[in-house]
Amino acid sequence: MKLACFLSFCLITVVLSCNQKESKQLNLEIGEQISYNFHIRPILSDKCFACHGPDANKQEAGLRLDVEEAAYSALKESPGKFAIIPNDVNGSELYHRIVNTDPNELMPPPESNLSLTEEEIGLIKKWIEQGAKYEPHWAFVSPKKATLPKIKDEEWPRNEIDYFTLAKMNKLGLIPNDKAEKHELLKRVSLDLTGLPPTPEMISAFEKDNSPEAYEKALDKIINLPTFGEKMAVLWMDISRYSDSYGYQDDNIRTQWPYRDWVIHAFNKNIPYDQFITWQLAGDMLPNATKEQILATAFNRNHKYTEEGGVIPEEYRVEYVLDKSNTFSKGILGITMECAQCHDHKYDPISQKNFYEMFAFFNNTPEKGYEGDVSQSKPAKTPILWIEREDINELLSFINHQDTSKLMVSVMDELDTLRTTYILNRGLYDARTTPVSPNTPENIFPFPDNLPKNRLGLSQWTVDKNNPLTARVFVNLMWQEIFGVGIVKSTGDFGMQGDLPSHPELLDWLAVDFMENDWDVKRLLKKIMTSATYMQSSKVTKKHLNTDPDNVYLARSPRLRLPAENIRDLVLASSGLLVPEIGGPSVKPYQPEGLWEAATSGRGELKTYKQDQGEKLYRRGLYTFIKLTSPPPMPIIFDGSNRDQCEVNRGRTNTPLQALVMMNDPLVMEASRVLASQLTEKESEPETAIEEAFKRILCRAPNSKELDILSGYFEEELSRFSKDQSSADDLFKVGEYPIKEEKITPNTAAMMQVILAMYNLEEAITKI
Amino acid sequence: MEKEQSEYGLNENRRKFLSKVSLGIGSLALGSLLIPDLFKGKSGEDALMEALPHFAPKAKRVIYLFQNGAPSQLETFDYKPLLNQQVGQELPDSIRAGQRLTGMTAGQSSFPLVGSFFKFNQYGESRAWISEAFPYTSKVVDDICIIKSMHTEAINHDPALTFFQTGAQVGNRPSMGAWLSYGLGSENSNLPSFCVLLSRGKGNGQGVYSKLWTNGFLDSVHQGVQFSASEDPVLYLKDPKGMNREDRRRMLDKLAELNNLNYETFGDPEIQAKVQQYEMAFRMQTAVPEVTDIKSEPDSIIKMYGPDCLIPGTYAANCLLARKLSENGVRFVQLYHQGWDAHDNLPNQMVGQAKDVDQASAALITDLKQRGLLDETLVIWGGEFGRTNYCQGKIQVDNYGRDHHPRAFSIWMAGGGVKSGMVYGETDEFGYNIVENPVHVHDFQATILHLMGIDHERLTYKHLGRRYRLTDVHGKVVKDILV
Amino acid sequence: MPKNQKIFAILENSLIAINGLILILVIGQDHIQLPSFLEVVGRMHPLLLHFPIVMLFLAALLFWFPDALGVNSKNAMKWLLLSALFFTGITVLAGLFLSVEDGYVKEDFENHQWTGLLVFWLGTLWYWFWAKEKLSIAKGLSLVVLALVLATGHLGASLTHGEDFLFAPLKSDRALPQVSFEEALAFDHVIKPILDQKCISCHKAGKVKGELRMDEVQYILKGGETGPAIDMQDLENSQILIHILYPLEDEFHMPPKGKPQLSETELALIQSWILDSAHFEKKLTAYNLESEFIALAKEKFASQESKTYSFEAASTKTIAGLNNDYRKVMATYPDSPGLRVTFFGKNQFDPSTIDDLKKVKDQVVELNFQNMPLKDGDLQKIANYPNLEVLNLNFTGIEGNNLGELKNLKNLTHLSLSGNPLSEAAFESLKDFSQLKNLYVWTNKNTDAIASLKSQLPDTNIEGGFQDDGTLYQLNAPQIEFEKSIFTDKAEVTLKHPIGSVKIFYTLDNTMPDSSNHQLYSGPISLDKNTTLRARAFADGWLGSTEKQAVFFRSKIQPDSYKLTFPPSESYKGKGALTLFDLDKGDDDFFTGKWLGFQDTPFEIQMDFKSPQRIQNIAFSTLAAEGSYIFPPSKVEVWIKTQNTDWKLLDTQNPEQPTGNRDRILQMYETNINQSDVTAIKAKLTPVYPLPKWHPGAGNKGWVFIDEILIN
Repeated sequence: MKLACFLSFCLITVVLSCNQKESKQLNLEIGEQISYNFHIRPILSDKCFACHGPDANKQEAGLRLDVEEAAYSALKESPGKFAIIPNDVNGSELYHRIVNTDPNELMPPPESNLSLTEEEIGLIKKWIEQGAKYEPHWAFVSPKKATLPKIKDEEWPRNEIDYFTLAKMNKLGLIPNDKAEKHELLKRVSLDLTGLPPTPEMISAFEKDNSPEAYEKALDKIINLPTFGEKMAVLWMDISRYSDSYGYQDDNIRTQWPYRDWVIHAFNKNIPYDQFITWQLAGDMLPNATKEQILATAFNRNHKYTEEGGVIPEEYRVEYVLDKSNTFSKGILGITMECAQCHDHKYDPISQKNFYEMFAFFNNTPEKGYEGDVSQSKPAKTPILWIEREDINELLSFINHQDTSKLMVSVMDELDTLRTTYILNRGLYDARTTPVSPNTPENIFPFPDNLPKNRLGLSQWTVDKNNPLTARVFVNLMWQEIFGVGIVKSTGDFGMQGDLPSHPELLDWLAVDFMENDWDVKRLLKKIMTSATYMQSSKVTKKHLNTDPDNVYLARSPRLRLPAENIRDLVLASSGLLVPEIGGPSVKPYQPEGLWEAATSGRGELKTYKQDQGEKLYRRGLYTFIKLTSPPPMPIIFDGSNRDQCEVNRGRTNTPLQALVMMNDPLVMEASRVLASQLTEKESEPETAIEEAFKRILCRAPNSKELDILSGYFEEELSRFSKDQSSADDLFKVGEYPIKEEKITPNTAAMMQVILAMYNLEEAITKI
Repeated sequence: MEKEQSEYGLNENRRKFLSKVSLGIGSLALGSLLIPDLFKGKSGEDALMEALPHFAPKAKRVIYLFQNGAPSQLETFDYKPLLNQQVGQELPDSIRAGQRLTGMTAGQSSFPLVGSFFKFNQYGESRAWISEAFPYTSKVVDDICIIKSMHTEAINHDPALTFFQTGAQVGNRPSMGAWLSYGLGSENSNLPSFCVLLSRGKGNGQGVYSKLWTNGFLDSVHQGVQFSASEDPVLYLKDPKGMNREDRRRMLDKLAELNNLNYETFGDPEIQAKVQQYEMAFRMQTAVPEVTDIKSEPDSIIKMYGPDCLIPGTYAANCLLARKLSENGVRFVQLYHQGWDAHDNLPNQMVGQAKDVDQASAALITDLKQRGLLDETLVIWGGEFGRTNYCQGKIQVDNYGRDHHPRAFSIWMAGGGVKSGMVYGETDEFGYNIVENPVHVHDFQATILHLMGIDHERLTYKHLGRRYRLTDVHGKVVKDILV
Repeated sequence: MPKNQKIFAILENSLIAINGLILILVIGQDHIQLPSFLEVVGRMHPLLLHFPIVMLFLAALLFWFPDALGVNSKNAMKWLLLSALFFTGITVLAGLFLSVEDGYVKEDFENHQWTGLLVFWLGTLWYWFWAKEKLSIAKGLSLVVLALVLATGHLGASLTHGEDFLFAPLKSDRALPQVSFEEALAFDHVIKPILDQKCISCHKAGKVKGELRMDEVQYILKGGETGPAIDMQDLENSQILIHILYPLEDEFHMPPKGKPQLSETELALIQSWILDSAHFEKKLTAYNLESEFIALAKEKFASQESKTYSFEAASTKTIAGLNNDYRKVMATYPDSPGLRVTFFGKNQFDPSTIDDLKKVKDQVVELNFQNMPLKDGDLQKIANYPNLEVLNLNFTGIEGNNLGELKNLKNLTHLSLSGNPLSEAAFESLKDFSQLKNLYVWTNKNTDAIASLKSQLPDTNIEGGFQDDGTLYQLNAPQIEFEKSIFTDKAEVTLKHPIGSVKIFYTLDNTMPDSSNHQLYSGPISLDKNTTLRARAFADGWLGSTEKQAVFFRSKIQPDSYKLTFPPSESYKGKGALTLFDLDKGDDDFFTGKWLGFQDTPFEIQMDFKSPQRIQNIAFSTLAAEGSYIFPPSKVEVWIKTQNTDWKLLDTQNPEQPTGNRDRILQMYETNINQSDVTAIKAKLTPVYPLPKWHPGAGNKGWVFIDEILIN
């Protein structure tokens, strides 16, 4: 013992007087070969490029590390020294700087509030030792179909996707979950494709059908329902930042909804994605464009428009064009160009010039920056597409327009004479510098000479089979729709600061396959949904939580809370309240009092919230009226987009406010009430009624325990209401849906409470 | 077994649990205590972000009395006798120096100066000039710090408001309150950390927008919770008639039972997170009414704030409510009072607006002070920009209007580590340009964060490949006004 | 074991040799010219030194506890000690070589060198005495040697790792002045910390860039290549000043680009301090308080004030354990051991839970009970927190009879007792709380008590808060609530006031209600004719409120058909003529579609009745909003047609025109008809043209806005 103490004491002294930095041993659990793209660039990009990156105006010490030549060449400020000498760590100044203890030498400099972890340093060291090989950014190289990886269990895969996922699982020693129960599968499929729960009938039918192709059959049936378009539209409304008002202070009403009708229609008709994009970007410029093609271009007119008196028109016109280019790059190309608006991009090889060349494509519309204040407000702004009755009768039959009036929609158009675009210093509308002409960032994929330098050319460039981004980005979006997280987590940023694909080969395989099959969206979805990966159960084991808590490697199916719109849909559908009508103007369902009134400027049509009546109260969430300055609270509480700008992925939080909505939102209570009346009328036995409700809401039969608890609760409430009829009445009188009962019985009231409870179960609004 | 699993789900996996599943619980319940844990792993969280606050805070809470529509500095705190002497004379070009104008006066052929309709007097030890329209404020002048040298970039309401609240004129950035909620969490785990209260005066209104209290790219739990004037202050908070606390309690117990059954089968920690959220909701349902109940206030309070404070939705009521929320640990209470946009008829509108806000704002200061809370609560009063020293449209001495003026305007701050009884900054004798100690909106924001113990350069969030800050890449703390 | 002996001999001899060599080197140190290969040896010093240290300790170990290694410890001992000394010698030699290289400043390594040498020499003696069996002396020496080893190691470390490397961790961050403003020195506590942070890394012993050292005053004054860093003769030209003031881009700028820069405040501090004659010993308090330097310094202290507490911090676990949904326990500021405890939720509050905090009774420095129901008895629980500084007892309901319990809390500086029914006794005992800096005792009525307390505690800031001095405040007007202001036969009106206790007086005859003229509101009022309702609120202790008005119209008769001669303007066309008879009154916002607007053409309407009607009067409800060009009509004309008479002009009015801007008002133009057989009515309201001179739009056309026509 003594000895031990003594020795350790000696050691301390040794360390003290030692002036060598003790370099800690680090253990990298990453593979033998270090990859620039996967290991090194994320570090450099995050911690170094800000000062040693693409931004020509900010390359400290004249050093840039994002390109091989520059990084290898002699340091401008300390001749004879080199930032990186392949295979020679000690010769590489970069390494010395990142391990230095002297705050004045250390990189990144302390005052940048950035620092490298031991592991990051280790990676860089190893990378240099291995020759410091650079690679082009993965996302800027056109995807290739890789050969399917070798896997242990040849039995498991149902299609190509599974080879890629299983290979990864094997690497981590994960085994895929068992196949999900049939009812689980159907709920999953139905929610993913239509945003609606399957009816009990659908479930039992599916459960009875034991034929091998039962699943595919069900899939086909569901994917061809018209509700498919509605589900897909939700995503696209976020991307195209759809709203029913102009935003900004007076926030008056506008009618862009025919565009929404078109999007639903387009998805239902399964218009190929390349065409879908082409129309929205340049439908108006296609040879003798149809009104449908022009309507599609409303995509670029959904952003906010100011009607504030006294604005400076050009300031806002520029703002609008900026929004267009940002939406295009974020939503369709999956790169964020905003940064390049004010200066060269700090992380991606996109110069300010690139940005304004892109900007130029959208800068040639007859659009005005300001068309007068709210008192002159019209439901659309130039250029306007007028939709007459006959159009709707013929070509535009998908527009759900009940009355006879003409419709006006803001759409795109080109000026005959080209408007010169300038690089705007610091992005300021009045700080014009050098003129530029339309072009796309050469680093992503150079603009072919044979294409016209306008929006039409841009759309062709976008859907060109060699464009490295478009297909990847969309495939990734679809993956996100289904698995909750994209193969590339940062759906809107495939750039260097973005996340790396968890399954790069799979992403590329899907992208190429998607293009090879004429951008067929439904086919893509079926591909994914017929994979064994998709069909796993979502049970979570300790093993999972240990090795893969975030379920990156998909050894289980994710459990995901439904998006805001579909929560509403589920409540309406399961209670039978849902009005399945498709498309049409947005509706104003119940909303807590005073929200609009408190926030309004007191001007414009939308200063007070005039709630709708009757059927309009029971439309799907997709159709809820969105006033930008005061968006409907429920969707916002459930992480819905406020539609202020293009969004490609929503958060998925879990907050007390959400609990309050599910407990006290009149809609949920009304739904419980209506369903309760139905069931108590139909079923004399409470048990059976409860079971029925359970099937409708949770899409499965309750197990005995659950049934006990619920019936127990029923009994409690029953006795409570039998003692206290008035509470029963109070609770029951919720919502505008007519109450059938001439007298409210404790029975139905109790049933209502039980059903309300079911809606509040975690599982109810979760895709399992 | 189940126990063990749940332990597992909650601890072993807490990083994910807290960040992904419920930053809600995270920042609400555990608050800054666990902030370091919160900040790991979360998509945009910065590994670099260390425990907050960065240093000893001066202020624990903020109450921001936003005067929406831009009150004129020339009728409130910036006394310019010259304008009264030179009524009707042209604004010298040397002073205007070609500044841009809004579309409303850009067309105007002449820019006739116009002086304040209201008389000014000096008050307090600072001998600060305050217009007669604000008798109550002048009584608390020794508790506030008037900044006469604010300036901003935007020249129209929407961008200017957005700039003040989110640090950027456009885009969907998190607002100041959201940043603080994200940075510091809530003191009281049963109340939201960021509350918004709206009111409007008779003057020309310009509206407010939910994006002013948006969480932007931060988690939605940091979004400002808009309190409504109705008897249900927080949306969906009130249980329906016919359901009392016990009934709700029983329902929650059943839910917990059922959810836990489900947890046994699926083992997903999120299921338990859900249960906890319901518990927190349940607590909110008692906490909020308890806090917002004004009946419990003594008469003297009613007299201080003025009897309007008993009418929900008035500015006075909101000031009182603000104090109650703040003293109960709400990090950031944001008020908006509309009606200051006096392009015409300014004297009349000013009388009305001042009457709305003067007494209650002053009362709030006194009230906090007499409870010993002023030292730890930062109170801010001000609009999004100022108003021109020349008249918009036709001049009359008793009736004129003023257009937007971003070049110079006045606000005041009080408590929470700000020097009291101070007047900071100076404008030229025309009240058009700043001649001393300019304070840019980003400086203002940096200062607020500083008072809350946060280094504005280190409160960052990584979104779509870029680290964002409330102060973008600017902002200098205004040291001179700190205690 | 002759082999052993042989080696021992060699070692012993070399020991002597080395001793000699060292001696020579030490003497002639300043004149040594090293061949480069010896420089290499020199540089091995940091490497070599590890051997002797370990071995010496092992030797000592063996020496003190011979049996530690069991058998033949004597031999082993000899082995160890000898080789240890051998290596010590080599190391010392290397050290001496190294010292000859430039860059090292003699002052710094001198101590290290001497202790090092001593280790070797005394070590040798130790061996010698031990060999000679003079154990007592050997023992003594062994200890000295060990001590010296430590010392040498420490000094060496400081040399390479900077001053006081060893103990640095124990000292708290140098950047923060640990002294209070009162005791702080201008240089040591304000300027030096900055230099230490931003300068000395390059200007210190061992790294003397530009031949300048800034780690000690003497060197600063001595200066470097370009002259004294601070020039007492010519302060403006002190090199520090010159260099920090160079623009960042300039090659002479200090600190160099890329290194941590001076913050604005730091720069200002250094500058103002130097120009204020660069006092090194002066106390801050000795400065003229107006001076810029002091202003800045003050701020620095303020912004860095972080109390140092004598007690240890509680474990995070304990703290976490004390936190719950209704009690927040957290550090008063980052890494402060002091804790702030706040209770929330008065309905959930249980005084007994206070004692949970005993675990951290030393750490709690702030306790906040505001709004929590407390009994006076609970106070002594609170007395158990010796380090309590801030205590908030607002609205806890205590009377404070035993406040005395707390007077021994010596650190208590903030005490809040506002909103409590404090007893005489409470105020009595407060007089002993001289430790308080701030005391908050606001309640409704304790003016005198506060006054006397103030005289008792002159050094305490006592906040009495708002005192209701009996000034009467005006009540706010009552609210008038109703469905529609236009009704066909009956309207029900309710009056409300937020203060329940008030009386509401009202009149229905368009007179101002007051104490003499009024009806007292008791319940809903029902109206059946055109009425102006005026109401005011009254209550004891308040001035009567301003009045609230509402105008109600009855509209019994509706025409069977009607038609506008000219359409209303496109932007204000509402629901067309129907708007005028929908009984839906517009408010002063004319965008709502409840208003019809006319500018270019007059408002002209004809209303027909199938069956002759008995009509008393007709009224036109209009808006005046001059600010928006909306004026009273210049002329109002009404024609009627009866069964037996044709059209005849019945009434012409020329409404009074405003002479200046005013708020928007709703106006009503009424015409009495009083005929029994009316079959049709025609009416015309003509917009003002031109607008009067005072108006911004002088000369333009005015507008007429109308929302309802009422026929009775």
